[in-house]
Amino acid sequence: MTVNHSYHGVLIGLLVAMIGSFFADLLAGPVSLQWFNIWAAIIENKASLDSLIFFEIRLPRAILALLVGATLGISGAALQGLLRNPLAESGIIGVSNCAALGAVLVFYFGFTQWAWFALPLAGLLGALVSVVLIFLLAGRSGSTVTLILAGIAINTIAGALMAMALNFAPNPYAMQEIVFWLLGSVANRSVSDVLIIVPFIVFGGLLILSCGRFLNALTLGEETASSLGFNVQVLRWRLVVGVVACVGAAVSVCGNIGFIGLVIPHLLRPLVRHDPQRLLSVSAMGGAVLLLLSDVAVQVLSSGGELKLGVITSLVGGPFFLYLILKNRNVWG
Amino acid sequence: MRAIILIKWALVSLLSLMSCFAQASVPQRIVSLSLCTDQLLLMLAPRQHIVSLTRGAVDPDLSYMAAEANGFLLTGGNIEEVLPLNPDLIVGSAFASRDAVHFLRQLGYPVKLIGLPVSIAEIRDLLLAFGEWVGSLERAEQVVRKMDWQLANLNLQQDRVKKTALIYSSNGYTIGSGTLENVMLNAAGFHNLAVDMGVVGFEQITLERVVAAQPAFLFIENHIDNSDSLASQYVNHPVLDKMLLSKQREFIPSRLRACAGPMVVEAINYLSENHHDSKP
Amino acid sequence: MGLSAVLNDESLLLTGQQLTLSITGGATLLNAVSVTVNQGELVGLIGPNGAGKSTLLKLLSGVDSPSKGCVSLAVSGSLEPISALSVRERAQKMSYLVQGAKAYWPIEVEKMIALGRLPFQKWWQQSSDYDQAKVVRAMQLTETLIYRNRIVTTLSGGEQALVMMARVLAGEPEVIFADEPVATLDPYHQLHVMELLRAHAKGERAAVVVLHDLSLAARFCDRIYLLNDGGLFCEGSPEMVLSQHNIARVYGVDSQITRVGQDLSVSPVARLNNR
Repeated sequence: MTVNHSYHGVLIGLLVAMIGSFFADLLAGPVSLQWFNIWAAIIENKASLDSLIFFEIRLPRAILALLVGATLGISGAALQGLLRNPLAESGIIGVSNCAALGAVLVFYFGFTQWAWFALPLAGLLGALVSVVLIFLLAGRSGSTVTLILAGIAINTIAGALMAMALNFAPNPYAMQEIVFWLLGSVANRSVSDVLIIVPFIVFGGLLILSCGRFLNALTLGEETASSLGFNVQVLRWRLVVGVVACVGAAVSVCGNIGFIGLVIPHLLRPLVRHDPQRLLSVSAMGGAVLLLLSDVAVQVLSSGGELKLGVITSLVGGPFFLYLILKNRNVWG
Repeated sequence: MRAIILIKWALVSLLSLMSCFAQASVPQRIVSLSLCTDQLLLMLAPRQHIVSLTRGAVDPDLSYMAAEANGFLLTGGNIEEVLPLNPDLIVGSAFASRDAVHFLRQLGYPVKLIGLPVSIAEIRDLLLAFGEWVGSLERAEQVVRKMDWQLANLNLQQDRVKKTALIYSSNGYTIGSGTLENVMLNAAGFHNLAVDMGVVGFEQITLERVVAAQPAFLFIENHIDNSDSLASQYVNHPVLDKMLLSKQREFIPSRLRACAGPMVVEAINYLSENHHDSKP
Repeated sequence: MGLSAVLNDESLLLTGQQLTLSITGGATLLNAVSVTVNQGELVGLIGPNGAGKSTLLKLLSGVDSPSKGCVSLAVSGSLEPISALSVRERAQKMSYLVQGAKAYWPIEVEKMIALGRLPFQKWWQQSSDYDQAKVVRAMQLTETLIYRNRIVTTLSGGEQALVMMARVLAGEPEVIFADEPVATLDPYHQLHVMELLRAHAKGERAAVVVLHDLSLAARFCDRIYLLNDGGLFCEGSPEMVLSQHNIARVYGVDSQITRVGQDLSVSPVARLNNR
């Protein structure tokens, strides 16, 4: 069927783009590397300066950009499918900031030593609290206005609590670092940062993907979805756990990188003809591509002084958000 | 005969009168608003003229004169605490609270501010000027002489080719030209790679450039050891341990470099010991 | 129209016994209502606003669970409580059309109708040719083939209602439950939808419909349940239930009931004071 062909075409195209931008990110950096040395390091296990930079600095950064971008993309698509609202996104509805709050409480008060998974778990729990709040405040198929207002409230409270926590943190640098948590960055991360979040992201991603058919059924509303054979209560929570697991972990290591989950599903929705299930995998790849390219931009634009990744995504996403609102002003009450 | 006695008496009276005036122009109640002026006071001013210091003065991590600071009244360096002490001279750092300084001057208190020396010559000038403010110029000259003598007699192993060095601090900052730290590195016989990179003052550099620079000595400065922050993740990044060609060392402890003064000699000594060190 | 069916155990398709639903807060939405549906029947649920019709429909279709009582479906000759069926099996046999059905995303009509085949697909399966054939057949029945590539949200109210019916029919359920399927439609589409329900409720299948329009109920339903205030007022054939007395008691209106050939026509005339 032509429909399937075009979907496969989209998947392949995005996969190619993702691989391409991954390599572009590996190439981007202030120091120009001798690729021969890196090749030698892989084949002959011969360490060199270039291989050191490549494996310890660039590779973790690129992998993080890919994983976090994919997470934000797929979770944006999942939340939009669940809440049946194209403005739902982990940043806008407050999930990211609550995850950051959880991470901040664990990081600055010394609980990261407790277990290797302490930090991403804290992000997950923070994110979970915010989703529960969103459901309580805005209901499941609440109007857009209610959803946005609930998101504003949660974002504000989470931001204030974060600032307070950082203020009381024992470390004098803590207060300035709120910029990282609110804007996000993938720079200066090590391999261990990548490893601690991979299980959460894989787990969360798989849970989300398993709810794809449910999201399709939700196109007709919850009661119809129930009558079509889906246990709405269970699947809704499965989807939520998937989202908070991967978003919580991603934010706990990279801060709140905003707007990817809003922009990517919106751009790619026409490519999958509004099929919520297909949008999931497509948004994952699209998100990875966007974040990788944004990181390349960061490397090119700032030589030395660090431009935070979140600045680029906000510069792109903020106006996009405005444009969405203006375009659909009369549609949303 | 009687005339000579009269003249002597007049001279003595005149002299004592003059010394009274001279003493009256020497501050008797000096208050310090910052750590660096605390230390200068403890080094140069008579103890009985010092009314209060700041809390940092007794912290052995921050203050070179911590032991000598015991027994003095300690304040937080703000106006409320200072005014009731009725000072006749207030000293502080030019980077301290401008509002406080402005307010105190408006109330008519003499406030003297010190700057940030970036060379040995500027340290000398600072010591002498401060000595004059607190009425201990002679003592200041003594301290300067001692400092110069120590500098001249530093037992430095001057290699023909200077060993390369780079400072890497929390939040990815390095220290380049136009700073006292740079002067200390040079005096200790190192070549600061940050200057080659064009760094002026305090600037951030990426981890990649640190690795690529391959300094013989990488001076790590992690201000806080016991609590976590993203700032310290820069200096704790695993790649630094894998830079096999670079020896990692602790940079000068805070008490030797937080403020300018004769302790600069000790700071240079501290650095130069790394030269002779055969630790890996 | 139809004769009042004699209750024949072999033709019993669905029963709801003493169904009660209370919600947190103490209010009782439905109180001990029993319903039976036989094969080949189109059953109507009527009553004033707030009588509990939609609640009863949701309980019968399994969308909600009753606080007390039990709903059973005839499966291979015997009655099984629907709570014992797997969710999948229940979805295959019973299809629910929600009040004011709409699509939340602007998807293509054909794709939306294909959602009706979801209960038949395992999680790894995509739409098969068999599914596709059922979808096309549903579109033929509802005369919506011409809209197959249109976007659902761009259709008119009447066209959307037909497309929603097609989604339900694509699943070929044994029982269709429809909540006010014709409330906002023009007369043409009202009749079309009711005819589709009537055509479905033949042979071994049935349909249960919540209606406000009493004439439509009289015309198309085999049996009617008249609900009031969460309880059953009376049930039976349209002639039995739709009497002037019953309507006055339950709706509080004086009505004119006329026979036009085989059909009963009910017209509310004036409000009464007894309500």
